[in-house]
Amino acid sequence: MLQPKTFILEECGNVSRILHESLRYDYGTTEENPFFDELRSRLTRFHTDLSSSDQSPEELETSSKIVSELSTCISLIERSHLGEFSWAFAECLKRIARRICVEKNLRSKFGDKNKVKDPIFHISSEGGLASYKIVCESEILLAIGDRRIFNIVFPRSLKSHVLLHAVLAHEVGHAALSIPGHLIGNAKNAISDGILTNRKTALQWIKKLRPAVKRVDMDQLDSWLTEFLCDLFGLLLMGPSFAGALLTLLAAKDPGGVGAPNQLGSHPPFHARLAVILQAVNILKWTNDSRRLPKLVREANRAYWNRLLNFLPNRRLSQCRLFTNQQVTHSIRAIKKAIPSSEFFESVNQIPLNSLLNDLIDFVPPTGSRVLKNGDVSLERIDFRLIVHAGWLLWALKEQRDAGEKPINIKFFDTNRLCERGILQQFAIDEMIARSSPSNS
Amino acid sequence: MTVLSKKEIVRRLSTRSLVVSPIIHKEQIQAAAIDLRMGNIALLVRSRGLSHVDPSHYRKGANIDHKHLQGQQQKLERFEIPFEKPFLLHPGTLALVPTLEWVRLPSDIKGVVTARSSWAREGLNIATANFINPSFKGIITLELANFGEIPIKLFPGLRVAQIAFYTVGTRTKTRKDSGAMALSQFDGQFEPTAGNLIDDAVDPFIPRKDSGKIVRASGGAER
Repeated sequence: MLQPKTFILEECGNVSRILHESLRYDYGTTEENPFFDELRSRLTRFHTDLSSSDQSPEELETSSKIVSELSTCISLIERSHLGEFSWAFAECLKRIARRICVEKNLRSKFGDKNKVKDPIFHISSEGGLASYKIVCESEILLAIGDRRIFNIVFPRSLKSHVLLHAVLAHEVGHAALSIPGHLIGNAKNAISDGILTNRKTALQWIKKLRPAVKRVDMDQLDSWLTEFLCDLFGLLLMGPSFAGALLTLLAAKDPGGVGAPNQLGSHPPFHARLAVILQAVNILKWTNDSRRLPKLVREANRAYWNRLLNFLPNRRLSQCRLFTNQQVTHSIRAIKKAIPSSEFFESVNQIPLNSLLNDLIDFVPPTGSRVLKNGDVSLERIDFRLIVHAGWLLWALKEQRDAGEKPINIKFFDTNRLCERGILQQFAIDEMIARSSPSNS
Repeated sequence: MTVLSKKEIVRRLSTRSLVVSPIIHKEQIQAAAIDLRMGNIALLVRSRGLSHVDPSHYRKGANIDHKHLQGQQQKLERFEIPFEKPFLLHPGTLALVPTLEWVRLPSDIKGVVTARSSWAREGLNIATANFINPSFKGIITLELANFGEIPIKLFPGLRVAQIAFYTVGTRTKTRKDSGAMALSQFDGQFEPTAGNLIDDAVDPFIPRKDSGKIVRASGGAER
């Protein structure tokens, strides 16, 4: 029999060995070193502290949790092979998420004390459609570390489905909310005064959708508010494609739109989420038909928004509506106040949308490279979110045109793969632009 | 059959009647060809457990057993190579890599892919010249082999090959057109794969092993 402390030290050695074995794998395009270094230094510190002190039973319990969570975290490396998820998309998402989740007050505890420590985003893939998530490490694990570690999880089977990956913007919202004191938390206040915060009104509302529900759990309703907030955040961050991805995934998971008949569940009913999204896109005026846009983009935009706006009958939509337009407007404003405006989809240059859409119609990966008549090459930076948006517009256009005389012969899988490839090719274009810019010459 | 000049290549690229995308530097367009860059995947033969290439292992169909399916899947080991990460090609090694570029040929143009001569002088070769059929679309698989004596360090994005374009006398019909030839087995590919070495309809000479009996492709059992 081993004493608890002896066993925890033994396990600490085991976890160190796993960490070294993990070096056999290529598990990321960037951040392999920081992830390894961070975990190695945590293990070293943890081992030194534990072996040099006597611990109470409570402290030993915490130590046991720490070593167990370190083991879980390190084992993720073995599920993170580059070929199992779209690393080009993941890299783009990581760059945004890192900027949003940076903690300006989190200084290095063990290294340069003046340095702000950026979070580390690790990517892995898991089975199941519900695997889209960003997991934030626990505070007890962060206590022995220098940088906060997040794990972005992609569904293994949806490896190339970058159009659906748009839904991960919702999870970036959760990641930001998991950081103590992040300003994004203020946006929840704007929607916190309404139907869901009063037990009686909440029950009345839910009974309209699910008559079998007998009581409400206020904690669960509070977590619903968080979900609504993250939906709004995801929409602002990723743009219109977030709505298409959310609708596709949730409609398959919850076709009735109201969830399980006799329990609240951890997430709000799908139709209620859709109602908030549609309120938001109207408030943001994204559905407006601008005559300044090229004909093709206008046609695709109309097809896309018609599909979303007509997904539910008006009666159902008003039945599912939980918030006033004013509440949604305030929440949007609060989110915009918490994050620099340059991070949101609205700041993305949308002029190239027409040529991206034409690329896709021609079965060509959409990118910002064009050969001009005189033989010069025009290169343009294209935000990955615009490529995903173009993919969704193409799909809406296809659904509309297939019923008419000019069908578009493309599968959803190929639309995704073309967009995925476009995002990857854009890396090379961006690099060439960066190297040929005057500041680098 | 005439080779397209730079002027004609540029004309076709700018009007999108020919697509090689992305072109990220104008120097990629040569006098009568376009330089192609290495993409981000490498397939290498997994040598463990493989004694030889057996065409019968490439047979396709619903009744192929687990062993053969696994053999097909495990023959090649797949590596994803992000930009700025190196890939070492050892002497005598064959690697299947995609081009970074997506190519779409019109029905009157055939493509021919070869190694760039400056790389060939270092021992890097495209094992065979690739003929790309008219109407093809997709990435092109480069069969890179190191014929030299020392390893070659490669990076995704390097210009390792080139494609020249030839006009075809009569427009080629493809499966999309009525009564036409089939598109290439590699048409519409996003990444390299092993090819179909045999097709039972065309190659009746490869014995089929089934339930302990050797059955000919025509269906008659060997006694």
